[in-house]
Order: sequence, then structure tokens, then C-alpha cells
Amino acid sequence: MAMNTSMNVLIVDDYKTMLRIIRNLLNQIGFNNVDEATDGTAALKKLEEKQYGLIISDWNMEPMSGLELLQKVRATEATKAIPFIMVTAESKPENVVKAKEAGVNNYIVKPFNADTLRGKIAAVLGG
Amino acid sequence: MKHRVGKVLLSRLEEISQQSGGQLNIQDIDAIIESVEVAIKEGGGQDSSLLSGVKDIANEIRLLKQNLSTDNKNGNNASLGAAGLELDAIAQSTETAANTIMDACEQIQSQLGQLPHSDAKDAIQQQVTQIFEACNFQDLTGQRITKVIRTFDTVDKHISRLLKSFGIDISSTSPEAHKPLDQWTNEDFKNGPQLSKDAPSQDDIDKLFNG
Repeated sequence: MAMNTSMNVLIVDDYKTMLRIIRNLLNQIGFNNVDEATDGTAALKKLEEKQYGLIISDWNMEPMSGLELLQKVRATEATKAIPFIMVTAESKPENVVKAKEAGVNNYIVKPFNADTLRGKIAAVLGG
Repeated sequence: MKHRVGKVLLSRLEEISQQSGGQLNIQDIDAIIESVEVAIKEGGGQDSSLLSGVKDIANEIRLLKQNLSTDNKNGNNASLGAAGLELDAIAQSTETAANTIMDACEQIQSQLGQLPHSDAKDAIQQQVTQIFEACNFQDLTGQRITKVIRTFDTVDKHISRLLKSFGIDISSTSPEAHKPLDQWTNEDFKNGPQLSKDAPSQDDIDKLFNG
């Protein structure tokens, strides 16, 4: 089953280089409606303004981390069902467990490659 | 007195080490410093070799601040903010490099988009993708630098606090007051690259060189 690549995707990371990398890889997969935010607070603002079909977020950001963003997304009726993938350098088992408990759909550890990103997105969106 | 200080400290450190499963981490620094304070106080004096060792550490940190500070050789007002600036400069330059690389990659992708499909085109696209993946380095570099800065700051704060609690001001004991040029050693000349905002241009150097 092909993925619906026309959906809006929100990518969240405080490193602009990383936003650029993820955007480029998403474009290659076919996702061209990609918005960016540099932390959880900015991401929440975007989520109020538009409907997104996927959120891809870093963990370590200020003032709001990716985990806090995930928790808020899952606690809000309008956004609780949006697939959420964490892309982070945090690789301790405790991080993965915590993210899972908070409702993350998949977890990618940096550095990652295009195939991993593609595979995890497909797994989450059912493609 | 020296031996008593050592035994008290050793015992406390062993206790901390056991509590953390033999692995001390940055959060244990508080406990370790507290142990040093207790050990010295119980040892009864400020002239223990232990306190001398802590002073040495503080002086090393002070020297590092001087070496990293571009506009204050005394280091009296230098802070680990200067070290942070240097490390920030590394993060900045890696970001610039990563962006330059990605600019070039996007140009290649744009050109590829205009070509008819071929195996060669697919192969080139794959290589370009690998270059993008490799640019992950910039993100990880930045995060590691942040960790280093935080660790360094923590160590410095704890050492300063410890020495202050014994009324010791290391700024007055530092041996590295500003030296005249004819007293500079080889080590004094090794300062590494200056921060961009402070670095002179080639024109500046030429003007200095040519008088």
C-alpha cells in the first residue's frame, strides 16, 4: 500500500542543519509539504494553525523538548492521533521506554540514514 | 593530619563509588566535593596536601581560561564563557561547512532532475543522499560540544565553591600575570585560532607586518 505523501509533515529540531537533512530526505520519498519548527513551543503553534499527518521531532530542544511536545500532542484531542516519530541522539534504553510510554510511534537514533527514515515512516503510516 | 584526611576521604569516596555501581558520573561531583570539604575540615586544617591538590586544579582551570581568552591575558575576568565561545565557534564552523555541502548537493539534485532517467542518474542520486546522511555530523558535534561546556562549567563552579569555602581566592594566587613579550615562552605563543569576531584579517596582518 503506497503512503499518502501529500500530507503535511511537521519536522522539529533546534539544529537547522538537521531540519535541512530531514526535509531533503522527505522530499526524496515524495513528501513535499514539509513545515519546520525549532522547538516544541514553536511546533505547538504550527499544530494549532494546520493539520498534520506526521510529526518528526528531536528530543533535546529548549524551551520545550521533544518529549514534552509528544506529551502535549497526545494530551490534546485535535492532535492525539497524529503519528509521531522521535529522531534523536538519545539512545539510552530509558529514553526509548519513556518515549514509548508517552505514545511515540517510532524512534530513530542519530546518525541515521535515508533507508531507516523511509522504513520507519512506512511502518508508522502503513506504507 | 595528612593521613587522617586521606582515610576519611577515601572512605567517603568508596561509599559514593559503591552507591553508583563503581561508575562515577558528573552528578556525583557534588557529593565528591562535599566529601573533600568534610575530609579537610575533619582533618583539621587548610594546609593538607589534598587542599594543595585542589588549588592546583583550580590554577589549571584558570590557565585554561587565560589560554582561551583572546582579550584578557591575565584571565582575571575571563570566565568559562570564553571556553564556551571557542566551542561555539567550532559548532558554527561545522554548521557553515555542512550548509555549504548541502547547497552543492541540492544543486546537483536540481541538475539531475532535468536529466532523463538512467542508472547513472540513480547512482549519483544515491551518492548525494549519502552525503546528506553524512551531514548528521553537524548536529552530533553541536550536542557533544554542549555537553563538554556543561561539564567544564560544573567542574569549575564546584572547585571555586570549594576553595571559597576555605577563604581561598585563586585570582590572587595565580602565577600568570600579564608578561612582557620578552618573557614569553614557547607555550605562551600557542594560542590557536582566534574567534571570528576577534580574528584579524590578512589585511590587518599585512599592515602590522609592513609597519
